[in-house]
Amino acid sequence: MAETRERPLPEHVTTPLLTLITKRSMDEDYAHVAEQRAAAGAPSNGSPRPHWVSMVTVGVLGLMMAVVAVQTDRRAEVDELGRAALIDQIELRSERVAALQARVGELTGTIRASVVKASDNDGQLDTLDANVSRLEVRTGFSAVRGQGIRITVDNEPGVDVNNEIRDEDLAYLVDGLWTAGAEAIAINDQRLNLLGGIRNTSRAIHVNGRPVNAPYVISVIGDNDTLQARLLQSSQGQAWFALVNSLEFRYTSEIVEDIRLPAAPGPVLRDVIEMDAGPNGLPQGEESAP
Amino acid sequence: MIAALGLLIGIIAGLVFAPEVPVSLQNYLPIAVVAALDAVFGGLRAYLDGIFDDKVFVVSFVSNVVIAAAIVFLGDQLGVGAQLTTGVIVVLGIRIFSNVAAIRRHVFHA
Repeated sequence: MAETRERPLPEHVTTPLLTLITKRSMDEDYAHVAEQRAAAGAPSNGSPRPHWVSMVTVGVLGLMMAVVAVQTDRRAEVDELGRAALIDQIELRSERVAALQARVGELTGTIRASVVKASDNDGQLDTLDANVSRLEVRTGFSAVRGQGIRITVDNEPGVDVNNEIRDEDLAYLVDGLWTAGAEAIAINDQRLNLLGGIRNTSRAIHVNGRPVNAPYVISVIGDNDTLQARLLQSSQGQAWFALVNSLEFRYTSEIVEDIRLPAAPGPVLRDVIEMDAGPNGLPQGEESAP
Repeated sequence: MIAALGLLIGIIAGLVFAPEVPVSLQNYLPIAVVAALDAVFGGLRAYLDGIFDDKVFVVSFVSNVVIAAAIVFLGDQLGVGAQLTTGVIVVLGIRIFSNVAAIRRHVFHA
């Protein structure tokens, strides 16, 4: 091992690659051939002249160079054409992109307008909902609660049939209460509204078409403080109290802080037709619907 | 003189006939030209050194062209054609530069 290490490495191994390339840039064969010729004792007639073989070889180089130059030139034309085509395409696409962006802007504007319109519609819908619920409260088609009074009316036991409470008596009381500022009235949990009524069928009283029996509990929502006094002041109230006195009804009233009244039965409209509705009751445009 | 004449004739022939190079050879022709240039400059230097030989020149020319093209072809097959082309160009370029430097010393004695 020690021997091999001491032996100097050959020159072509130790020389750096770049140095080697530079040093051997000319083919070594020229030197070899020259040495051999000198060893053979050939006459050294100065520099040997190149013959036609070398001329042909150099000619081949010239041919190759010319061909490559022509090729590169042709390819440059093709490349230029390709470049021009690409530029054309880029411009075309840029125009399309611009058009699409304009469309995007347009659509964004439309969307914004639609959103504004939608929120407007939502607002209108809310207002309409509020209107509907307010109307439902006023017309008796929704359950309500509030302060008020509860009046209980009953017949004296064993009273003559002719002296029993009738629909028209209760109607006096109810009309008086409306006049006195009542906002919602129910008789025996039957809510009064525009379409309901108080009717007598022989001896029974019907409210909203349903029979109610004595004692009649009339729940009224209104101002606790003024309702009874204004009932007394109203002409219908006076008529009612005259009946109470003459026919000896039992009349009690109490102030209640929180009365809950149910909704009246749903409206069944048989004859009313909306102003802008077709003859069959449907809104315009829906008549032909299957 | 005879070499310059050959070069001129070759260039004129190439320009006049402008043969269409097959597409498969188009990648290898430029590198072959560089390799041939290397051989020609080597020959010119040998001529100026007084050791020129026709046989050596022709053999080195042909082998340079063939080997350069073969290396690039191999690189193309292996997918490293561009890198191998660069390597070949670098080596041939260095050789051309140092040969031209020697020629310059001969011609201008500087």
